[in-house]
Amino acid sequence: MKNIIIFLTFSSLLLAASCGKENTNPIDTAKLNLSFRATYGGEALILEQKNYTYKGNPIRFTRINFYVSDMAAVNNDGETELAEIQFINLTETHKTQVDAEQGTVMTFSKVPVGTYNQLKFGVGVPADLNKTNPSDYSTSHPLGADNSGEYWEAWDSYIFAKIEGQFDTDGNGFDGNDISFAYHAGRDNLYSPIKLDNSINLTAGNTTELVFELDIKTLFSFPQGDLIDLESHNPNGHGAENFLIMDNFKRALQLK
Amino acid sequence: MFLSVKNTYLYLFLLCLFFSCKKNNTPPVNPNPTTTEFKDLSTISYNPIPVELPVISPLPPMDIPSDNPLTEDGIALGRFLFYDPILSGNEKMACADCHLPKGGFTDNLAVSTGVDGITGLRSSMSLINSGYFTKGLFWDGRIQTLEEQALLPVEDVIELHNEWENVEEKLRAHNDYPARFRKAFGINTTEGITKELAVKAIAQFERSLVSANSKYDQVIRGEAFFEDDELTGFELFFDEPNELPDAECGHCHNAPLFTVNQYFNNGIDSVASLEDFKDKGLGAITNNLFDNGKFRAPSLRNIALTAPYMHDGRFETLEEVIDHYNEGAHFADNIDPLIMTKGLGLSAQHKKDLIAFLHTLTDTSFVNNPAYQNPFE
Repeated sequence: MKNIIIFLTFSSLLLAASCGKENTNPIDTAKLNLSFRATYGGEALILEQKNYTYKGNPIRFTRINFYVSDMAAVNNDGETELAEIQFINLTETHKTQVDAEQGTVMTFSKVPVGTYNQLKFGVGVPADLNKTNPSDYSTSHPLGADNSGEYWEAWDSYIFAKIEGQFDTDGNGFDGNDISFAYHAGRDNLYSPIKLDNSINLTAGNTTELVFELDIKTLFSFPQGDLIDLESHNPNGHGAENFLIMDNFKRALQLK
Repeated sequence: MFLSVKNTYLYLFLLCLFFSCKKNNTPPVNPNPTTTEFKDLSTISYNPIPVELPVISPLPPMDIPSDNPLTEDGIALGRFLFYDPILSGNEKMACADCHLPKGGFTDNLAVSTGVDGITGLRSSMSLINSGYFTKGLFWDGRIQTLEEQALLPVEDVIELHNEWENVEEKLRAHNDYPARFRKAFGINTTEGITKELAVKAIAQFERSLVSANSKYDQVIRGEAFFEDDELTGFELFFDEPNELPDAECGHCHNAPLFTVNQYFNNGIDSVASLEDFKDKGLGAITNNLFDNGKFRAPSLRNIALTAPYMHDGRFETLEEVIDHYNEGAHFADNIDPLIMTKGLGLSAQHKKDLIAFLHTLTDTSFVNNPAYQNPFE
């Protein structure tokens, strides 16, 4: 009798557990890799060691990094948040041709499957986060002290994007008389929201790779195609060109 | 064909006997014949008390590795090891000889001299707030963690010139250390005293070296005010929006750590090509030509205590450092765009103001803290 009771109890428990399992409806997920790659006029951009042509003279880039925030995939059901804030450090991933073709990769391992028709995000740090500073985060957080070089005390703002390099103004080789440029763009009014309408189909158990290409030549150009005059630019100022550059992310950053 | 149950037991018994006999015939192997028997430590109490480092505004919370949580006994052991010459080959030099509290945890020498009288190539780096240093340690970033870092000087022939095996043996045979290792890490016998645990303890002590009570910190917290010259220096340092020139300091030495944990060619060497740097710095680690001559931007906290300056101690005073940047750095193909080859345009008064501000980064309550001093004195 005792054994029968134990058996029935155990069977009931198993049945209950089994029923519970059937009632659960786990959401199928997929892995999404987003890679960010810098180009110059469509060509993979190598920092420091490779020169490109800008208004007929050599130019080279030494640092490219920026924040992306409030990143979400959008479909008819609404928005799926991918990341609140990420630091895209192309400086570390564009030192060789091989690395530049790989880019900086962000992985989202559990994105609900489905067809999405838009990716939206902002380049920069949104106003609510931009009220904070590196002291408010653990060291390794994208906004933390590891990236304290991306916070500028005098503005009470993170530096949303940095593009640095040198321009050989006289075309006789780089030397101390040439222009070093450092476009550092920050403050709330430079936040640049971006929406990219692309159909993205994520299927269960599969990995989808998406590639963002950031063309630096486009970033440095006016909508009509003229390039910024680097010689008239205060090389270490934080002036009006920054508005143009931040707005240009909308044109320069394309999903391939 | 099939064994009965009884026969099976008999068979298993014989098999056991066979292996047992074989084992007895093998002479015992002493894995370390020179070592005395390992002592039992299990009777010593092991009650690790976690230490949470205070988050002192404006410093952020420190990332502590999960495999080396801070404990009171771990930090205490690390402090003893840090100050004990037992780590060196001739037992005359300790980690602390190159990292003294009064020198902001440097030795105030251009380059340090090891136990054999050999002079190194670089200046000892300050350990203050080193628990916050990521993206590589040493001037060239060749090591990623404080634990890995602490391994190296012991066996470096131009530093402590010892062998860890030798150190382990001395620590195991020591009167005091076995109990300290037991209390810090819960080991059961002296066999557990290893270099891995020794460097974990040293790293714990180093992580406890948190300095955030300088005048600068007090001003940021609203507890003090800058004098006029300090305030002007602050504005020059951080390029506040006014008529003052930009001293460009904050790009590489930004608050709150006063380092951005990155590597730069700051134009102190005049070279014809990137291959000509006498000390290649980061480039020797990455083998990337464009990293030659790049060195870690050190933290400027307590900078007034850590002279001389730069990776090779070439500048004896802060005035010389500022003159270097103000007069124009040497161009090289990889000079950082924020290092001005044409100079900064600072006046003599600006330079004085900047130095006044740098002195506000001195934290005397830190350097005089009894918890960081030599426990053998």
